[in-house]
Amino acid sequence: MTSYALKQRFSSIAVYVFLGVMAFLSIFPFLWMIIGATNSTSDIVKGKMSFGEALIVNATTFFTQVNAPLIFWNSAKVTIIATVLTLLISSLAGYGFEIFASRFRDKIYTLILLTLMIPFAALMIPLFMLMRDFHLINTHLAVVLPTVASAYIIFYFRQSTKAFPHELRDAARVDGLKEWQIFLLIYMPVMRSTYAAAFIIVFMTAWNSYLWPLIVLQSNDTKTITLVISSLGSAYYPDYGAVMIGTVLATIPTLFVFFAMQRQFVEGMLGSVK
Amino acid sequence: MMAYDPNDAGLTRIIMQSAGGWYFDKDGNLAIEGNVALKAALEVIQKIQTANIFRPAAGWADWVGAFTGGEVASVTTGVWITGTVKSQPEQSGNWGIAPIPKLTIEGATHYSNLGGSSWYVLSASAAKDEAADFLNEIYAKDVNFYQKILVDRGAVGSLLAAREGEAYKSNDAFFGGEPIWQTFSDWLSKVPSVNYGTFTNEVDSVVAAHQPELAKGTPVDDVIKAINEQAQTLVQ
Amino acid sequence: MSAISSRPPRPRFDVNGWLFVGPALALIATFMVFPVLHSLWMSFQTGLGVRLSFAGFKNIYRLFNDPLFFTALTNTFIFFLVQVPIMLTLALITAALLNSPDIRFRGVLRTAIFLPCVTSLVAYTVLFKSMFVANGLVNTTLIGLGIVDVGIPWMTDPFWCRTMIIIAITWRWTGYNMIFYLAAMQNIDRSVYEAARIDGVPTWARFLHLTVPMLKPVILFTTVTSTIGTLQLFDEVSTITGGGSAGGAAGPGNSALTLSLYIYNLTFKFAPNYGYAATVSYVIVFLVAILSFVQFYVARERKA
Repeated sequence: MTSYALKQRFSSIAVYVFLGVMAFLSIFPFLWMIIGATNSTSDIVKGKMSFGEALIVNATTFFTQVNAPLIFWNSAKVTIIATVLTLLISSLAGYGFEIFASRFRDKIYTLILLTLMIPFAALMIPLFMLMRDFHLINTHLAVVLPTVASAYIIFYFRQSTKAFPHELRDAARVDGLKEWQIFLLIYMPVMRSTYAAAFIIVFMTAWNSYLWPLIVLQSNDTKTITLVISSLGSAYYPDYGAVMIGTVLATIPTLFVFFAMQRQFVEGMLGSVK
Repeated sequence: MMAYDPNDAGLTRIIMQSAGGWYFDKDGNLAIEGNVALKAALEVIQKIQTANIFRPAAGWADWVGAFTGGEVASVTTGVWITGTVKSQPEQSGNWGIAPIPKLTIEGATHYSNLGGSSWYVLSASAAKDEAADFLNEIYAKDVNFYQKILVDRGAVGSLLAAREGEAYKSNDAFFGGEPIWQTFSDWLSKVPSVNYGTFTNEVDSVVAAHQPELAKGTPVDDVIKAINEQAQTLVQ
Repeated sequence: MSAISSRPPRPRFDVNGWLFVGPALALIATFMVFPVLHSLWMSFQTGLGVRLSFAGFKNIYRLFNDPLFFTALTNTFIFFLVQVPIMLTLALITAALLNSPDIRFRGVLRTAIFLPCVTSLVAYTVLFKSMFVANGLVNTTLIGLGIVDVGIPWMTDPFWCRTMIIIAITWRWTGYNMIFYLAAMQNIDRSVYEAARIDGVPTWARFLHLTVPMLKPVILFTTVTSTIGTLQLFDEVSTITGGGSAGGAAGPGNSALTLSLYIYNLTFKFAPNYGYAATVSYVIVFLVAILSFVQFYVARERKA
């Protein structure tokens, strides 16, 4: 073997080791979570890395401490409402901005893009006061409303609409379809991959959101799974075993969506940067 | 040995209040510099930390885990911890209660207070009188109510008359058959009263943030000076 | 019919256009524009709770004399100055290695490294917290491997607490950024590499002098988005330091106190001072605005 070939082999081993370590470290916390769900708190804090026998106990603790069906329903409700409304309202706007020209269109659009710069911290206090004045504190509507008109999703839809074939629109017009019918019957089905990618972004954001729900949801019966996991860890009887059950259950939906729609998932994450 | 979380100022407050001190004076003004009780409390905290006679705890969960898991054999905190202690049936009979040690400054006692909940009636409330009346009837008079919440919920009330009830007179096998509620009740009447003011959380976060400096050996006076400086901007 | 393909602008009032964008505009005006202006107005007021009174520039004066604000600002800067470069370098190297067509199991490796970004910020933080407890997994492993003699005080020492948070954030976002690099790398013409390889340019030099310059725009994009994300860091530090419970410091010596967490504390943990909290929030607005300007500026340069 020549020294060049040796060097090649050595460097390719190094590459696999590096990637292997990266992949292992990325996966590891998932394993830890699953193994943790089967161990007692005292084993978890000792770092026990093998499956235990506490799964049933942990699950029982979790389901007695947490009204799980209600909490998951709350999370699902917030996510479903947010997803449906955001996709509808933001795609309408993205489509509208691209298709219909008007005098102020570009100025308003730039203004909307500028709102992307506004950090949530600058909004949360006035938003909280606004929701208080609307008597919406402690409602799921309050969680969803501020996220529905998402500048990012509008931007994403406008960018994607540029690829929407105009011939289709004009043909539909000739056939006498109204503007809303064109949107509903032609645009939406044609753009389904854009909707799928946008769905992923909105779904992930809504299911995992924390700070805003933490502020507006104040009673235990309106809380979402993210809030529950956070407060379980600082409860009077902290139980890491039960916390693990909670994180597993909270992660299953996102994992499921990821594996079911991997291509659109990556597409959604990349957004319009490509 | 006890578990101690340097990011939490609870123990500092316990020691401080046992000598009648607080972050504020009786009128609610910030009182950090020249506060004898606070200084004495921080000196104790520094001794505990530099002598390394504690099991470091990181956050509430870890702190609780230290005594429920049997790593440490004592816990110094509010009476409301009783329920957490009793969550470990296998430790039954191994626990007892004792008053906290006393500082050597003027006004020092063996008794203090930490946390708990309070009831307030807002002066702007539409049902102000009804609310006050309710609290007066239930929380200020109903001895039986206190027996019920103690048995059902492990909630300890601060109404001294509650000690006359059945539950408060019972002996607790978990604590070696001692009449712990009578004892707690005795101590309750001796806790020095202080003015908690409006900004306890603010100052508390500042004190907690400076406790790790004590562990490094920074003189208590310097730490107090730094606490005072930070607290002043927060208290407004 | 007019030329469809060139899409001439129709500079007339189109009621349909307004119907399509109307709902979004109304919502953005109510839940974005109004609050941000309200916040600006509040930043000139002071007082506790709802008893606010006009204070002029008093809050700005307070800001410059508030050691806790500077602690939060410093922490926030430490997080992005240390964490963002580490994460992006890792992401870039990983992407470059995964982009090589000779690598086997590419799909599996890519999926594995990308997987952390499906977790919620709170859930992964709780997991990391449980791994980094005093006598927990990380410390027992490090001691077992002989790397350290005694456990690292992850949760009780300011330096190690920040380190733990940086490790956690890096875990969550490296794969995410890697995907951007991979996507950009796929657009690079392979023949350039081939030519360089035949000329005997070593791998590392090809990476440094070919890949990195060609990825400049996307590197800039990820830098700006990561920095903006770090400027707003909240979920992780809030969960690590107690999940919004009252009392205590934000991490040892306030080492995990970020600007967003400080704003949250000023509003919901302390006696609420909305006015001052709004002033602190405008510091983030200001920082994000500068960064976004840089991004737009460089993006424009790219087009020209």
